[in-house]
Amino acid sequence: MKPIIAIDGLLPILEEIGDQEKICVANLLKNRIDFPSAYLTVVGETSSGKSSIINGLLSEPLLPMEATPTNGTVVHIDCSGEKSPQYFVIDKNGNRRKLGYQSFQELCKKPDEECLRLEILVSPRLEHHRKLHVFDTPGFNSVVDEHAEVLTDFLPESDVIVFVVGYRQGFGQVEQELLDMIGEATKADPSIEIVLVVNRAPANLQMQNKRLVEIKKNAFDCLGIEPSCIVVDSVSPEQPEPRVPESKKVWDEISKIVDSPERTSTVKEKLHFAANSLLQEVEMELERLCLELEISPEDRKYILQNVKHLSDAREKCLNRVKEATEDLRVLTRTAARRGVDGIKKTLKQEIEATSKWHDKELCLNWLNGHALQHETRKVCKGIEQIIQERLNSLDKEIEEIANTAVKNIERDTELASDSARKLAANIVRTVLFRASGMVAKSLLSKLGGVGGTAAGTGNLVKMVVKRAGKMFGKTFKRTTYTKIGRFFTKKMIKKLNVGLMVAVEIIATVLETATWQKSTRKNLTKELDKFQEAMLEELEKKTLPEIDKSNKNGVHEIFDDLIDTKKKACELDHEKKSTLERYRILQTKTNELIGSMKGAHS
Amino acid sequence: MKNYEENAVVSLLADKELPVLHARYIGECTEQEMGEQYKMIEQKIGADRFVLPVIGVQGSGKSTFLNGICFNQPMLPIDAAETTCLPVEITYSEQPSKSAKVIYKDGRTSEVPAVEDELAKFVHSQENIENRLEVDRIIIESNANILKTGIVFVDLPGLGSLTAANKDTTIEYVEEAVGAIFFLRTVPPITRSEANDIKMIWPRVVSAFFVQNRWTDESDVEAEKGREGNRRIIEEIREQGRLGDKNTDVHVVNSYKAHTSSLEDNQAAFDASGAACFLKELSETGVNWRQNILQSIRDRLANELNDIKSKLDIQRSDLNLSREEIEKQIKEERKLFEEYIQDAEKRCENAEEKIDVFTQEHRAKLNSWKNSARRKLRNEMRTRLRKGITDGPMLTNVMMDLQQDPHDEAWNELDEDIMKLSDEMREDFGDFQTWQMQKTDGRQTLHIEKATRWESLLKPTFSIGGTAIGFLAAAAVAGKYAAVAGSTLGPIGTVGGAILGSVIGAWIGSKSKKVVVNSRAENREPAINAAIDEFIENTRKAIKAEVERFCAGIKEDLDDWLNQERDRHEKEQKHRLSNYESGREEKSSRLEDLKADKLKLVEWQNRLSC
Repeated sequence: MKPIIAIDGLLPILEEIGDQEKICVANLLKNRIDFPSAYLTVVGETSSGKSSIINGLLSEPLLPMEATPTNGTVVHIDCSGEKSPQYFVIDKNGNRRKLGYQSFQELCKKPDEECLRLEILVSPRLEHHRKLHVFDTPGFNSVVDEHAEVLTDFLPESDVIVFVVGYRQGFGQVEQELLDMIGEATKADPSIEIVLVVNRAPANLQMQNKRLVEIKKNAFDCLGIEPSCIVVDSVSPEQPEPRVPESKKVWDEISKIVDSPERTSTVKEKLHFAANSLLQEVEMELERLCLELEISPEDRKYILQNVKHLSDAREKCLNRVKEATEDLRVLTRTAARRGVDGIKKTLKQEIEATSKWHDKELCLNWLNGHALQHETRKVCKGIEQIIQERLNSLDKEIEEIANTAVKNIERDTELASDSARKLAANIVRTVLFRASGMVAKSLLSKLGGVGGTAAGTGNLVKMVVKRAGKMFGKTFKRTTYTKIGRFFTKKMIKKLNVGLMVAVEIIATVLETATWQKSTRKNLTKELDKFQEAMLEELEKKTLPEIDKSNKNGVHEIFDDLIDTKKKACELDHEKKSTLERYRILQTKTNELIGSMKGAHS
Repeated sequence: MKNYEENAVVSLLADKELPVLHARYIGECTEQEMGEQYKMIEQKIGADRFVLPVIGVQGSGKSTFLNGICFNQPMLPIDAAETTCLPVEITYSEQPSKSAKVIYKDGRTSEVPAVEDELAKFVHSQENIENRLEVDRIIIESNANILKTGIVFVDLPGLGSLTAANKDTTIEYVEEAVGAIFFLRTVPPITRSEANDIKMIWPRVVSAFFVQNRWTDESDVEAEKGREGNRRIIEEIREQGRLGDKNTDVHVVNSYKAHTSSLEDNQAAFDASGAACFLKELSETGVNWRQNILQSIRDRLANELNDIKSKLDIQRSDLNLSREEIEKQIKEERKLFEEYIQDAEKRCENAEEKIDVFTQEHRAKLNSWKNSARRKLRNEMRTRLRKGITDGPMLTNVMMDLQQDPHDEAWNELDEDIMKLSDEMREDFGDFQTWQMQKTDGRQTLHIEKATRWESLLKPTFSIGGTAIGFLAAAAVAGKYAAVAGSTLGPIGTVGGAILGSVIGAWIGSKSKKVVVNSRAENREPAINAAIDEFIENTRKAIKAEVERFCAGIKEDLDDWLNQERDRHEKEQKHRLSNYESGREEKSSRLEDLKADKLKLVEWQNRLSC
């Protein structure tokens, strides 16, 4: 059976249970199957000409494309619309509001606080591009921006990433950082294609052109693969306004990638997987509902006892989270101090090793260009390591608590009736599953079905689920750690750059040669102290609270719904035999759907 | 009691009859060979040298600490940012010599005044660049009480931070060591390469001590949280390595305080530094080392007496058998032995297969490391070039800095993989006993730990302990560090050389400077890329060679061991047969002799077990 039929079959079942969240997911899945679409993210430096490439996809240029940085927010171009474009703004609460052309243009250039992203619903110039969803990301002059976080959210969810490099500017530091980030974000999912677009190239550029080769080589070093490369010629000055480059071949190439048989079958597989996961999950839920209805009043005490064990465990876990945060607060502080002391010592020795420096320029260059960043990075990495070590052991502690709770539940329910035991077993399974590796796996389990691992849950599934709303919130995952860590280091280095480098440059031009070493050292010390302050503030005000919060959420994710539903289960009206029968029928139906999907897949 | 035990062991070892009986009944070694072996063991008992390496990274406060507990004047150079990784031995002497002994790699020795500045000439990397002086180790005497019992501290860098030549020396010390002191910091918690050191060394020593240096500006809470963190990691290592109930305590000491208080001869401050408390535990544990060694020698001797006795019993009962009966028994035994050796061969074959798989997997891993490290380094260097670091010593510095991470990563990975492989092997051979003509229970009662110790004490004479475990563990260490590890940091010199020629021009305004920088950077790239490739290639080659050496080493040892077993069995049977032949002619007097020998054995056994 095709997933679409299974979903069609599942929808009425979901309606009957009344699970709005899953209805939403199912509808999205259905939508995705009915209307094939491809999600593209366009990334590039501010002046690389991204917007003009995208405008080439449309019959008329809808995105502003001035020389100065244009859009500060993500613009979603949905090509499945009508000829006359419609504009929307999506605010931070997820509400979608229609806009006029003028206000769209304004928001493009200067998004307000509430604006999450903008959307254009329009038809493309060429019919076969209808399935494309293009996300135009803000231009970056430096990755070390708040924007970078936006990017890391979008990248892993794309089918294709279009990376635009301006030919004239060439491949510089910003390109390197952006592409590094793209490589990092897509590492887990090799099915994401990356297309390199070299924009505004001179006409008739040869493939062995030196700069082009250079760009490709650089791109390879960032990604570890050679992306397909498309050259887009400059718009000749004679062409009348609006001067939109001939980017048809970009979009044709992308369509080709998107429509390739391998990709189509990957997408099919993913849809199949997503549909199957959804079915499995519904089945599990129905099983739970039935078991709850079957519980006799005598057995309620067992369930209440289970709930007590769970609540105790939750309490303990929350305490452990608190302890971990406190440990981190102390240890990161020590590490920051010790680290900065170390930098001062090392750099002092370096600066004073006069024999080493031909002149002050050399020394300052070295400080600015390498030493400072290298040393501070080491310190930041050390802090990241402390965070990771502590969180790993927190994971273990929580697993242990969960295990104890599970043992208690098993022990207490030994004498209970069959259905109470099954229900307890259900709880036990869920807790164990969620607690191992904390919440990461439980979230995946929601997708992977009973005991299934969700390895290979591709971007599509993530996308479907994420767009359904809150199922995939900010979660406590390994990737979250690394993300927190990565931003920590990057942010810190940025801060350092601003303060320190300026200071060093200034003294460099002013001071006499005889005293530059001493003054540099003094200035360095002062700035490093500031850096330490900044680091501590970042930890105290942002990083650690964030970690604490996601840890707490993690604990709640393990226990809360179990505790709530079990509590409710005890308040259910158990006389309603008819409900039970109805659920049993639904369960059978779901199982049939699962069975038929299996047949179809194998 | 203790003395009695020692006397019993010593007098037995000194008994001229013991090698005679050993040769007569076991027949594997001559009387003379055995005599020499026993003499060596006897010397070990008297030597009272308990080597205790102090292992920790630079800047952990290790040298400061050793100064604090061993000297009342500054001795080991401490403020060196980089020290050449030379082992410094601190040994006891009632009246310490005013000079330190320098032992060179070629065996030469010299004496230098035992003061900080003089020692720095050997230990500082800026003075003794890459150990140009070719020093093997330095020995300093101290009259610190803690050393009285025979403890010898050795200031050692961690294995992970070592170059090849020094690794060998370090391994030698670890082989000889009764224990190890791991020097840790409050922050960062035990790092990956520190953890690898602990994993490697901990199982090979009887006692390990973990000491966390607390800086003076660290609060109680900070020190305690750090301690908890370190302990968690140590416990994890223990769990992974299945090290049973080995002690995971972490002592917090303040090296600086320990040092200054001993300079001022301030006992109260010394106590407060945590050093006194640690020393107390160290000396309490130290009492047991002697005992442990004695115990393991005693166990071993008891086993040997048992062996001799059972062989004697066989000889005696053989005398009552007909030639045919003997031959039949020998045949049966051969059959059993064949079964045994087949099992052994099978295990060895499996091991070799595993090794081959390991080699392949590691090669693939190395390749992917090569690709990603190269890309990463190129990018990192480009970043530096764009920032205007294009020339001379700076560029060399930068390259050095940037190579460290990929270099460490590759070697750490190798360490971990090799440990994993060794673990698997140990498991495969874990229940495996060496062949014995007649099983005695004695051998199995030996603790593995003791057996390993025994082995490190007596390596040249008794190659294999009770099981194949000890032998494998030893092979792993020996194979691993024989190779040239540090040379991979070498190619940096060539980059420096190639680029040093041009010197950065005068100060140019920042705008035009950028242009200059750009053009220069582009010119530099090929040279830098070549240097990167060279570094990567050298590292890859060195690691590949290391893997090959390690794998070949294990294979060779396994082969040797199988051959040895076959030989031993062959000898055993020949010996039995020849004894039978010679004994039959004068059966009655032979029986008398056997009786007398047995009485002697029983008497020895009684003496030992009392």
